[in-house]
Amino acid sequence: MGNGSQSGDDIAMIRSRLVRAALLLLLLGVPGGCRTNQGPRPIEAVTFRERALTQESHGVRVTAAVPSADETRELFDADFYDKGVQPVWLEVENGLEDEVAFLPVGLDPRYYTPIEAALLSEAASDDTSGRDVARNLLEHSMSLIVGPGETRSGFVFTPLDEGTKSFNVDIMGSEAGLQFSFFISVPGLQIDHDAIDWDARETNADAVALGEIGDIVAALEALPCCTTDKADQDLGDPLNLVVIGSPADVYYAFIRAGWDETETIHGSSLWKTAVSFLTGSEYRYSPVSALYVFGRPQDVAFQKARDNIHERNHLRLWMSDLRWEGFPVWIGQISRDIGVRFTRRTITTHKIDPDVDETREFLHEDLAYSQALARVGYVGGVGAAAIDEPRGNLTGDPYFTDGHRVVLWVSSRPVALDGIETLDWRPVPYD
Amino acid sequence: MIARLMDEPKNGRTKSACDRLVGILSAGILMTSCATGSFTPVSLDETGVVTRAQTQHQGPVRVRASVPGEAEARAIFGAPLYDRGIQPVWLEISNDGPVVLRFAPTGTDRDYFAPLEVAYMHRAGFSGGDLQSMERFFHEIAMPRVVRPGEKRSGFVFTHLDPGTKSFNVDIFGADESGDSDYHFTFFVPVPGFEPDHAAVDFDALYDASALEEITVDELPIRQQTLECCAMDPTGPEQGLPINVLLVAPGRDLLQALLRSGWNETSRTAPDAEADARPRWEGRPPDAIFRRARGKSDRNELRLWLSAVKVDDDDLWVAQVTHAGSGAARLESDIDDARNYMLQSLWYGQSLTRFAWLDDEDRAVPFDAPRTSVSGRSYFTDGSRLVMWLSGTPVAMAGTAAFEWGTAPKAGTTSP
Repeated sequence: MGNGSQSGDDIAMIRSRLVRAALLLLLLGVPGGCRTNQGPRPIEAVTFRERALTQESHGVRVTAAVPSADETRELFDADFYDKGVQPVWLEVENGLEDEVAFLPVGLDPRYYTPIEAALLSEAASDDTSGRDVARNLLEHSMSLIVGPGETRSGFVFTPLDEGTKSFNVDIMGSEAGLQFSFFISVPGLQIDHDAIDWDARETNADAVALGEIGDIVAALEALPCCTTDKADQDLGDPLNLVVIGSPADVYYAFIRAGWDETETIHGSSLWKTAVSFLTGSEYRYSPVSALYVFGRPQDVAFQKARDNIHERNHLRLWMSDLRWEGFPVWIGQISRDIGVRFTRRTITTHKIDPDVDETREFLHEDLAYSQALARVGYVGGVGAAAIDEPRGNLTGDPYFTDGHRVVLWVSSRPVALDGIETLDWRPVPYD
Repeated sequence: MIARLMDEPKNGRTKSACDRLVGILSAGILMTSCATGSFTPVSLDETGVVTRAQTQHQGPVRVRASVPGEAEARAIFGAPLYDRGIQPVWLEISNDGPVVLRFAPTGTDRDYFAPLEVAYMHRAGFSGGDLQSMERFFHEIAMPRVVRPGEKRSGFVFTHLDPGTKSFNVDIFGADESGDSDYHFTFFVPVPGFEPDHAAVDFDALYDASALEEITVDELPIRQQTLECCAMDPTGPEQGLPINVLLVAPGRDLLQALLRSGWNETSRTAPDAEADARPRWEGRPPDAIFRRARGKSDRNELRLWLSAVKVDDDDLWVAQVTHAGSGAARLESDIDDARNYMLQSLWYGQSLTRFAWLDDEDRAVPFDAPRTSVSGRSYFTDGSRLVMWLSGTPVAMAGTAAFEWGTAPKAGTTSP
């Protein structure tokens, strides 16, 4: 490549950055947010620990709580949430005769050191108050070691998860390692499925109870092949997932595997998506557009951010009328975004990987490696489309597939990789 | 010694002059392909990638693995994969057993790139039939997931780029319910075009035989007090940052433990090597520097020196571990956090046999009175040194033992 074209690229890049910056300024308008400047308040004066959860195992008690954005500002006199930092408060009571180690990497491998969190917060731009914030965070950070008979508490500073904060607390002792899994909801995010009455849907009078495992293949294959548009006319993405489990199982399994809930589409989150698209930064909760099955949009959508918004996986699930041993049977769709392009229907949309089987198998492995999968099998029902004769979804993306659905029994309790049951309904279809 | 890993005959041969030649040839071919603008990848057989593959066996399963260097990857894929942070790993799996095997790329890289994703990222400059043949090429050269009884299948997994020796797992699952036909391999594969700094050190020549000193583990707490406490600034006789970590392991185990735990090698020929800025311990720059990325902007840096001391026959390495690379001086000053992070990385990397703290209040430097070295680095510390015994083969997390010599560093609030 010659110098001429490189400098041309540079100019184009600078121009595109300028355009993005200008658009951002328009979107941002007058900067919001205000510092209170009242100084940090003592932990006892902030009520977030009313939502604390406690778990106990083998002589170790762990209590965890997550302050909201407002509570965090009260605690530290710094706008941590705006900077993508979320403190998690822990208390570890060691009832054992040996010391135990708490390993923050297990809570989140991307955790911020106290000084890093102080630097990220606005306060750190001023050197003196920055030192005060840093000292305050250091003094209130959770210790690595808890001695025998001791109780220690403090904060771990993690990357922000809006909605439900899910994390493990790994405690290593001289005898064994203990793992505590927490799911703590944090006030502030409106989630897709918040609006759904799960009890009513689960106890649906039209529900069809399935028989033995071997008999349900036909029923699963008879579920719709594809999503549709709102008018139920055009066929869209292939429905190549069946998930079996209670709403709580589904929820815990995907959260455990690192999938994020999605926000219901409303003004604020669309705004956040636009900012994220323009800056290329990672916004993990951008809303997923609606696709239709059974005449309604998805009941649940999850997404998993990768390096930036242009590369993410997202999936949608609909609860069907089928029940297996009382558990709802969900049908779903998954796609891997590999870029962004413009379309007439939704203005911007994602370019999806046309090899939808690859994406399906990624999910199978992702749940398995996250210890969230109890049993797996394959059925038909999608209809094959060869690579030379791909089908198209509603936004014109081509895809090809072997026509199989993966059937995933999810588990809210950890299942080891070698503990997953593989059903031989069909030979392994995937090449 | 570390360098011995590269000589290890078990897993294949080392980089040869022939492979280097292939790299040069490949670069030439690349220029040709750029000039025509069409999709003309080089046949895999024309590179040294397959012939230098390492081989491992478990029961009826044989796995061969190799990693193309930057120039080879350019030639094989007709695209600059390394520039996009993508490192292809070549695998061949032979199944001589009775059950269908499934290979899970997720086990090799939890966030691997899908083949058509890689094609899409490199589509610029291609159109029409060329674009189609390029996409088809990536689809077909990918490592398949299924290997049936009697089959031998090969292809590429597209992983995130690691500088230096590539360490990765190959997880293979049997399609029966017993779990007895699951196989887990770990590979450490040198990558052409990268010479790690430790490969240039003649470890056997560092110390005269008369200087070597054998001690037992019980003697270590006293003996370590008289080791040179700190590395010196390269510019003068000023004390730099303290030695805050001691590692006990033969070189080969040390290297495998670090690689498995996500620490990457560095090269002295790399543009960011900063040769003159390296600190000195016992008068010499580090025998090896490793880095581990942490988050988006920070990384931890480990500077290692082999000491003349052997602890129960194993080498004793002195080390500094600090935050580096963020440009934020205040973050670098928290050297205790970097030390604690290293403990965790090795623990989760299943490489830690045991560990102990060696406290010394005289070494403590308070937060409000940080010490500044002549090169302008300031730091504070509780003064504790962390000693870690490392293993080259995986150690279950619950199998790590704590030695109680000193009191562990404390922070956080003690409840009454």
